[in-house]
Amino acid sequence: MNRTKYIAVFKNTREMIKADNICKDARLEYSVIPVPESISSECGMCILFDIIQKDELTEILHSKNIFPTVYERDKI
Amino acid sequence: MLNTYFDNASTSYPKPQQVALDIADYLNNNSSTYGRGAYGSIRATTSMVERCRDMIAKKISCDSPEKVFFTQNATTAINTILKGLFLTRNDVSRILISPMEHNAVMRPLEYLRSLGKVEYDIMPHYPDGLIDVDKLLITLEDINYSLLITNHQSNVNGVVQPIADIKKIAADTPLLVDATQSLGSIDIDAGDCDFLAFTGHKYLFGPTGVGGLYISAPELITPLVHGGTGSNSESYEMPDFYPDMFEAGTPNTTGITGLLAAMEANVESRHTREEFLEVINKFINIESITVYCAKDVDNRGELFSFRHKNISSAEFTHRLYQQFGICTRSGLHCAPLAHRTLGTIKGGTVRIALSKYHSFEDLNYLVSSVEKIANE
Repeated sequence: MNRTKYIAVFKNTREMIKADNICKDARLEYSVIPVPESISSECGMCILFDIIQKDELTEILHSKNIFPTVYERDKI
Repeated sequence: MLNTYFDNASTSYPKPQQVALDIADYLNNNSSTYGRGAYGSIRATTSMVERCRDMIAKKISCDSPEKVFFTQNATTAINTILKGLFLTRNDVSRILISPMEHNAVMRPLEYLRSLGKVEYDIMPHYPDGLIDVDKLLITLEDINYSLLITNHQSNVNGVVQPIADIKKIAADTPLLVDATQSLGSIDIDAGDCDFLAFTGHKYLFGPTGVGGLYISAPELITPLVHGGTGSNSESYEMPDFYPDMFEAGTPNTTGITGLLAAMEANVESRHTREEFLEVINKFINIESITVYCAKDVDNRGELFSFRHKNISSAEFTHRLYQQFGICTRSGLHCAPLAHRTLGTIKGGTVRIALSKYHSFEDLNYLVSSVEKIANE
């Protein structure tokens, strides 16, 4: 079954890499991918994750004062 | 083997072994850029840069690491602050500077003065260049300054300025501290200043080509350099968030790799404070030389200058190297204002700048070598 995928985009590289390290330390399942051009012409990276990680991932990032913009991948 | 390198105020040597190892590893195995992609080695490089930024922030007790910006060196950092504050203003700003400033401050200031942007005065001080905080208080009551500037430790006589006391009495006036000669050897708190410039290659033991600045209110500064940041790429404008706003262009990831390795090495001093003070006293007791250091022991950083009554500074430095292999720097040390303050503008001095790597044995070798030349 294909579960819904989400993309978290960050204010800048520093926030993105902090989020990457936080998610890694929390042993969450996620991938780092280039920012889709439909979101931005950004040359940087963003985090791709599954719906089952959504609450935990956003909660843990919010607890560290990181507030990404989250998109549902199939709707962008 | 004796460590005969006493020019650490120019650049430190030796560096921790891990600096070269990590730089080589980065260049050979992981030479990716910062933040401009999503593959593994970019993530590793980006993470390394941010770890280094976090370590610098911790070192200066700054709880907003995103307000620490990497530059090429302290000079670029100081130019960023001074030009960012004053170049675009139409009125004349009045600035108060310490009597010990380096040309990294004086030249951008003179440039701004030539454009009619700033005027500057010198802070009240004692003969050794130490700022007279009591008189400074009176000065600040009389005149409204836009900015105060002082180095933390002089690169000529090592006098350490009372930064916390200055900030306490000048709470309403922004303070720029040039920590080039102190960060890594003397504690400084970002809470005691509004701007802090530093370099990585002196007492932090990193490679040359990487330094930085801390800005408490970055929104007040116009960036000196404009260009790509890997963020807001659809816009021709610089981002207004940090650290991107002050880091246009590819950062010196090679240098930052080395700086991080150097800080993680956490070098411990091989001599004690008492041993250093004993050495400086031995210098003071050499009859034919005059030592330039802070009068008060508490304000003595681990660098100082001297000159001989008959032998020129250039000649003394040359003899130290030729006869004993000791590396020092003579002349004006790019700090003519400091030398004018000390009365040594004509002829300059021989500067001795210690490192944590010096043992007491190294220091005694230095003393005996200077004594031999001084008494020839």
